[in-house]
Amino acid sequence: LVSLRKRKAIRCIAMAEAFTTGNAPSRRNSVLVVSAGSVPNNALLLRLRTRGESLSLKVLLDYTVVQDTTGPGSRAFRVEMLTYSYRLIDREENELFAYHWHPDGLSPNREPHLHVSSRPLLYVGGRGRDAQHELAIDKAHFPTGR
Amino acid sequence: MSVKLKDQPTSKYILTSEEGQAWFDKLIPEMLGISGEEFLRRYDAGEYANILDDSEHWSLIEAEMMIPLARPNSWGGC
Repeated sequence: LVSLRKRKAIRCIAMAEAFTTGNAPSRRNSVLVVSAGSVPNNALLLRLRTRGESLSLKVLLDYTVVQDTTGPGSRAFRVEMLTYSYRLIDREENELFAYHWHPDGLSPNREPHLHVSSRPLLYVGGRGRDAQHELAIDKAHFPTGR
Repeated sequence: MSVKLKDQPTSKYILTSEEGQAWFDKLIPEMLGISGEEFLRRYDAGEYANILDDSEHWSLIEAEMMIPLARPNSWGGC
């Protein structure tokens, strides 16, 4: 899951290192992507072409290793994703958007989905601010593929 | 806990249980303002059941994803 090649690829977008908690089959494990320097909440400061801009990515994912019984023999293993969260954050730690999938656990929302930011605030309704109400678009779950 | 990155990724990429625990103990207080141990106690006690999936609670959902750091090779509710 975190091969040397993939970890080099991570460095194309951020100065970061990736670790895992293990590879024993049929167990739940995490990928930890560690940022260089002191970045709050371990978000990854992205390499951007435009100087002065600052965007951070926060990556979390869990996986398991399962035996692939479909191939020849029974020695093949594959990695199966269990859950993920990818969040893009600006320099004030405002979230721009987030891709989530957590089919089990605390959240009642089991399907993969996209969250978008509510900053700046969006309003819907009639003409004039008094006739409008805030659209809580950040609370919406836009369905996505895995 | 800090990490100094070299020009090339390290060849070692599986954390020991002690290293995973150390990262968990560092990151959970940054995310939730409580210790990793306290988060696990509340989590196991069901105090976070039925939370909403909104921006106010994403830190909890993300913290749950990090439980394998403290409990490597776990399964079933982490």
